Amino acid sequence: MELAAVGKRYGRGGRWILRGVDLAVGPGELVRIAGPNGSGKSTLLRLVAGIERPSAGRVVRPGPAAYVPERFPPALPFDAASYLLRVGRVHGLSAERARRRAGEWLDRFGVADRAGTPLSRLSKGTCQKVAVAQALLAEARVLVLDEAWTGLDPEARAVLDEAAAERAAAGGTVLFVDHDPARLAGLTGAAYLVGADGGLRSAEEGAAPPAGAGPVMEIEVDVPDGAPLPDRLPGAPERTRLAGTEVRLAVAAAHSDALLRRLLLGRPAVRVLAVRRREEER
Amino acid sequence: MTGRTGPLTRYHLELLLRSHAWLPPFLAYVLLLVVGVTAGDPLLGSLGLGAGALLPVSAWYVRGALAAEPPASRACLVAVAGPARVHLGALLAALTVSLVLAVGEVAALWWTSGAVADPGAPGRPAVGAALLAGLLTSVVCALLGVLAGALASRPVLTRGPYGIPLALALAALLLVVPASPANAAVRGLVAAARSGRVAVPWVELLLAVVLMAAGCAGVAALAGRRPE
Repeated sequence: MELAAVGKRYGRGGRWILRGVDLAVGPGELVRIAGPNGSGKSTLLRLVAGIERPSAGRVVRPGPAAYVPERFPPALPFDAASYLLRVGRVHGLSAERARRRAGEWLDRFGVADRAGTPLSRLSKGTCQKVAVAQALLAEARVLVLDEAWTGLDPEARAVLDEAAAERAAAGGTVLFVDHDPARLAGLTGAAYLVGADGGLRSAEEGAAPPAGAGPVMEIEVDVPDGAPLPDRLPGAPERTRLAGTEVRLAVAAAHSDALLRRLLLGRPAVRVLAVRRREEER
Repeated sequence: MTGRTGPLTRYHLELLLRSHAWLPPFLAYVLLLVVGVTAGDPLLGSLGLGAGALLPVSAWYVRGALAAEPPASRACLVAVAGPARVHLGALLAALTVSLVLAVGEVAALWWTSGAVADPGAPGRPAVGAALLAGLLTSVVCALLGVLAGALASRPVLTRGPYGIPLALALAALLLVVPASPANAAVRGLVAAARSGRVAVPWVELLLAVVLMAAGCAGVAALAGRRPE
C-alpha cells in the first residue's frame, strides 16, 4: 500500500487538508494515524480506502479495502445478518461462506442472538459491531479502521484489537485512527501524525510498551524444526532462547491472547510448553 | 468491471425494496394507468400510454435507489468495489425494478383491454405482436428513464434542489423530441392503434440500449472521479 505525494482539498482553491503525503505500508504492518481533531486523519483513511480520490499524487492499493466508518448509519433498512450477507457477496464470497462468516463474527462479538434484528432497532454499540464485522468478514488485504473502537464495549474492543492483530499477522495491512493512544501499542509498526499544514510526520511512539505497564505473560514454546519465529509478532514480545529449540516470549498481558492465537495458527508450527504470569522480580 | 456488479445490484435492489423507496413511484404509476386507461380500451393505445408513463417513473427509481443508501454504508461498499461499480449497481437495480414494472404493466393492460386496435382500424393485428411491441416500447422507456434519472442525480448533479425538476424535464424531453427512441416507439404504438399494422420497435430498443449503456457508463466513470 503506497501513497505518493498525495494531496487533498475540496474544490478548486480550497484549503489543502493533506499535502505532500508519502506513506508506504507493507503487508503485515499495523499503522496508526494520529493528529488533532479536524486535522485530516479521516480524510487520509478515506483516501487509503479508495473512498475519495486524491487531488494530487496517487494511491496504490494491493487489493480491495475494508473500511469501518466513524459513524455507521442505523438508517439502513437491513437486519444484521442479511446486511452482512450482502456485503460479503460484494466482497466476492459465496453466499454460503458469507453467511457462515457473518454468523462467526456476530458470534465473536457476542451478538449472534441479534442477527435477525433490523439495524434500526439495534443499540448504537451493537450497530457498530455490525459495522466492524462487515469489514472483517472478507479478510481484505487492506483494513482501514476510522475510530472503529468508539462505541464498543470493552469485550468488543478486545475482540477488535485481536482481529486487527490477526489481520496483520496474516499479511494484511491495517491502518487505524483511535483516540486511545495505547490502542494496539506494541503491535503498531509505525505511527504518523497529520500536521496542521496537511503534512504527515512520523510520530515516535508505540515502539515498545513502557516497562512495568501492567502484568507480563511468559509463553514458552518449542519450535520442533528449529525454524525462526516471525519477526513481527503481536505485542512485540521480548524473546529469550532456552535450551535446544525452545524460546521464551514475554509480552504484556493485553497482547498474550493475540500472540498465542498467532503462534498456534501461524507458521512455523510450535508446541506451547507453558503460559504463566511473570513473577515479580525482587 | 462486471464481476462485482451482480452482488452490488442485488444489494441495491434489496435496499430499494426494504426501504420502501419502491412504493411511491409504483403507486404513482398505478395511479397514472388507472386515470389514463379505462377497462375495455383498445390494447395498442393503452400500451402506448403505459410505456410513456413508465419513463418518468424509471427516472424516479434511480433517484430512489441512490437516495436509499446512507453515505457511510456507501463508503464501506466503495472501499470494496470502487465508486463506479457501486454507482452502476444502483442504476441497474433501478432498471431491474423498472423492467419488472414494464412486464406487470403489459400483463395488466392485456387483462383489462378490449380489442387490439382502435375500432374502425383497417388492419386486424395479432395480440402477440401487439404485446411484443408494447413490451419492447416499455423497455425502451425504462432504459431511457434510467438514463434521465442518472443524469439528474449525483454525481452529475452534486447538490441543490434541481434534481427532481431536471429529471422531469429530461423525461418529458425524451418523450416529446422526435429524435428520441422513446418518442419513436410510443408514436409507433399509437400509429399501430390507428392503422392496425404493428411494427415491433427493434431499432428503437437497440438505440435505447446503446444510449443508456453509454450514458450510465459515463455517469459511473464520473462517480469514480467525484466519489462524494
